[in-house]
Amino acid sequence: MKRLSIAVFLTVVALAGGVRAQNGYELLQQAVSKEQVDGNLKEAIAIYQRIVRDFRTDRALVAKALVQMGRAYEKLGSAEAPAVYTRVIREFADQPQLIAEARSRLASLEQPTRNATGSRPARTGFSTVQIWGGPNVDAMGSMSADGRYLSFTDWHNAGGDLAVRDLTTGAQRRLTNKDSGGKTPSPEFAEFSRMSGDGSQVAYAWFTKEQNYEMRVIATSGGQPRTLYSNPEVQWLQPLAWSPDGTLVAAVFARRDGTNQIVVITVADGTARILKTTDWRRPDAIAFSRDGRFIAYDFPPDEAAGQRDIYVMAVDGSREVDVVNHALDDRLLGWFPSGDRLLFASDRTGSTSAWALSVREGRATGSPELIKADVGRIGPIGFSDAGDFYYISRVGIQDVFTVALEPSTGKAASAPAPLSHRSGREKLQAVWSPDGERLLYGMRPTQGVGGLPKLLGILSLKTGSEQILPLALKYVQWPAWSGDGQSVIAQGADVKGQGGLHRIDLASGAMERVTDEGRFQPASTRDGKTLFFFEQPAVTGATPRIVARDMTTGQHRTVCALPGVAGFALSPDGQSLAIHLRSRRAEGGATVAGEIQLVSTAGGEPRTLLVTDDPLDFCSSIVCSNIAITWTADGKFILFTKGIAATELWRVPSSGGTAERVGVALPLMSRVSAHPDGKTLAISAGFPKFEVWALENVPGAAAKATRTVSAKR
Amino acid sequence: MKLRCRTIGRAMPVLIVCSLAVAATTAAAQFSRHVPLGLDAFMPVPETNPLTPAKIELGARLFNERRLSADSSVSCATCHDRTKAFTDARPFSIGVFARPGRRSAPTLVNRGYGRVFFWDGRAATLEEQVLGPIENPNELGNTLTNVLRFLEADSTYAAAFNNAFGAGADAQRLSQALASYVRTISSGDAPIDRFTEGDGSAISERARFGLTVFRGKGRCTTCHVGPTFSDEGFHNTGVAWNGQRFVDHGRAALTGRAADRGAFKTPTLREISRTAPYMHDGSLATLDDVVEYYDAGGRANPALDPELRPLRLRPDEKRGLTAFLLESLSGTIGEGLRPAVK
Repeated sequence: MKRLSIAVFLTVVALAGGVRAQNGYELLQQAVSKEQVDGNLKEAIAIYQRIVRDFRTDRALVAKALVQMGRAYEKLGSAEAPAVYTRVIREFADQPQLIAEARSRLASLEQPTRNATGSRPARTGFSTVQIWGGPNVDAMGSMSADGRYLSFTDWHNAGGDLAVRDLTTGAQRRLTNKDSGGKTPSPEFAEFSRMSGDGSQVAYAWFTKEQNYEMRVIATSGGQPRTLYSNPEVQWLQPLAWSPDGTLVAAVFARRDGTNQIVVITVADGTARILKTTDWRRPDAIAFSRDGRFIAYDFPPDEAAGQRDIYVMAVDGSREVDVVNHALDDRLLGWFPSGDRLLFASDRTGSTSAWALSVREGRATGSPELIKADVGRIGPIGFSDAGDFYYISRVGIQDVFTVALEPSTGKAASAPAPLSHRSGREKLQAVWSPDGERLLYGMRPTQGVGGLPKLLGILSLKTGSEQILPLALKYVQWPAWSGDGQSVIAQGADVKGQGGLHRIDLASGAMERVTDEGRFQPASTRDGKTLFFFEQPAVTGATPRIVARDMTTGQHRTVCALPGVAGFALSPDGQSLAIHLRSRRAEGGATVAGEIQLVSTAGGEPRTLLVTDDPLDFCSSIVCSNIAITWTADGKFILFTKGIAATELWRVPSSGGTAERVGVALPLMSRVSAHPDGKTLAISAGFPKFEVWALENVPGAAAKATRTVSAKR
Repeated sequence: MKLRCRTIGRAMPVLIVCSLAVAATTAAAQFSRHVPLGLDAFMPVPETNPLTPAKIELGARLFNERRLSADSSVSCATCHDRTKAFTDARPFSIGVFARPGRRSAPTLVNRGYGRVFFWDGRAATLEEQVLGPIENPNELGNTLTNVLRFLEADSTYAAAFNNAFGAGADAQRLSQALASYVRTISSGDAPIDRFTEGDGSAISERARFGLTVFRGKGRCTTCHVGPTFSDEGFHNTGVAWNGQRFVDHGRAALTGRAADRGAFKTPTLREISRTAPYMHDGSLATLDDVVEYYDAGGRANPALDPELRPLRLRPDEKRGLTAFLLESLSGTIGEGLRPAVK
């Protein structure tokens, strides 16, 4: 069957086969999406209430809906939340995990939440408290030891500048000031900021205009940043911890051969000392011991599996000890300010909990002790000297939405509907199969604070079933179908970190690397003979290009090489490419902020279809990397997104003409795919949202002595 | 036993100083390990065998001791000659009674960073590895019993063992002394190390071009990565396939896995300009030969590593790659307690 009625698909998605319990899960997903993607809490609560009312025989579902409802009430600041959590605890004894979650939420509600204007409440024992929420929260900052300041990247107000937030007053101050002299936003941004123990300095990774990463240090009082380490041979770097005396920064370097290194950088002169080369894997977290003689870090001992152990290494490199060695996943959260224990997250009991392990002279002493159950997969920010542990909790999700199109006008005929699923994973970057019978997308767990998708899923519209492809890849992006629909081509890296486009045969599961790294956004012609992709040359400053690969001979041919090319879409007939170009200097000196051009796949001069001089038009992401762009099924229009963060879908005739709205608005649309029958769009949208939380008064964590800047190791 | 260490110096390379308090009968021990530019400060040293000068000195002497062999004709150093970057420049090494070995002697530089040992990875530790050649009939051809009897009878060795361990020779102490010495054999501070630390002029323009081929089209970094330029993995490149069968089963002799047939451990590329001939059987005489071999995608066989494929390198890319290998990877060799030499 070449063509499948979209009505069947909608039935599958919306009614999920007519099974009532499944209907409830569909509704739950819709409500979560309303709550977390749209931020429409009241509508989300109404759907949760409907689930509780209509699906009471599915106790797991109802308990889950109640917990979610409680969270939504919390966000509204409503007094209803405690009653909802209490109901879960009272009525759902057969749902222990949800009871634990409800108890945890109830306990945190009993503690006054720190707010942006008030002072710190009285410390009343071990508890969790939300520190900061909202769209401006960034997951890559760190805390000063006094628990007052949080460094973060201000994506929303400052487009990637480094900033500091005073958690007692809510005041925010920008520390860096990226070059904004041009009409188009500067590509620079800060990442992974780490505050020194005394709060006087912040070390951070800075992405430069030359598209390199370097490490910089800036005083929290202001002034000019100092480049601490810059080396074109280091492809990417991440400062992870300051030594307590402020003389060293521990960091991870990603080298150009694909290996990673644990390094310590001397703050005084920027000298980098390589402690250990960790092949293709790397630590997610590093923490210094209180005396500065050791670092702890987490690392996956098995290169094919993601489970981590925790190691302690002497800062002089003289020895290393595997202090937490468990078959399941153990991730470092921090080193207690008291100096004698490590805090780590582990899923050894089935759910992720916080544990503490005594460490003396760089060695484990005793067994891990449970500190707090069911914390979820959280990201560490750090300890304050008072013994409060700060962490990031991820609450936003990305999902795939379907939108029906009005056949006569091609405009949206329905509101975006989230693609419901039961796999517990986010979906993103979806694309229809050539026959329109399947939808392919990347997936990642809804838990956790970051990371690229690691799985591919295929939803069958015939059966409603979801197939998850096992992949020997560290991450996978831009999945695309082969021309015959029998295999999938995606950009990713294998366990050795070897990047490139990989082809996965759907029947056998066999995978082969089609191209080397630096190639993105694969698109196959219907006959499967040609694969187009975007190529970013490894040499800084080289012109990006779109390349056609002859899948029979393996020969490559440049279709076009243009400064500012950021993406493209292949027309349904395989004859044309719609190209998105970022800013460029046009003839006469004017700046073109963004552009869509058409070019024949055979090559030749591109033809400009659309030009904008508004720098925000084509900035679907904060750093204006690329927009979502595709063709309608009949090839008559190019669909593209406009806007920053809150994106709108537009279209422009491929023959030329005026652009107009399609009638779809969603947060950060990253990919749009038109069903071959022309009646439905699959739109990948949404972005992660984060909250800062604290475990206050972690037992035994408070520092035993006051920190001094000049303390000797 | 308590190990205390501190770092001397802030700039690379660093000295790692370890002082060891051991039995009172042992001489006070302190060893400063020189870490050349380009190598990790951390080297995995078993806690049961910390580095001490006495052990390293004893290990160096044992490494050069011909009387450990059955006919007193060869020592470890015969096949791992420090003047040849710890190789012997032969396709196959010559052991006792002029017997040829089965495989080419690999360089020992930076083996302290190794994860598995021998071409086929049959030794899990350096301590385990160093005893292998003593009893290999094609190498030293001796027995441990004979060797220990000799070491006990020789008063200078007896004193050296006592100094290093506070006890006489036995198999464990013999292996620990030899392994301690091998851990000091290092190569670093090569032009590539200066280049990767930001000195763009450290290698020639042609070598820089070769480096882009090495990392890109040449696909060399699929296996030759990190400070040692080895992934410590096992790969079948087709060298052991004679067109009809495997003349050496390599890793599969241990694992029994069909996929491991003809697979050998990735050798380091450090000092490669001084370690010809190449491959586990010394079958390729020059680096030009090696480049041509990989350009052709290795030799097709039933277990060829899937990463091997024709590279279609242009002549200038081949020349650049060879230039990079020849010019960039040889640096300072250190060993034992001696100062490092170029």
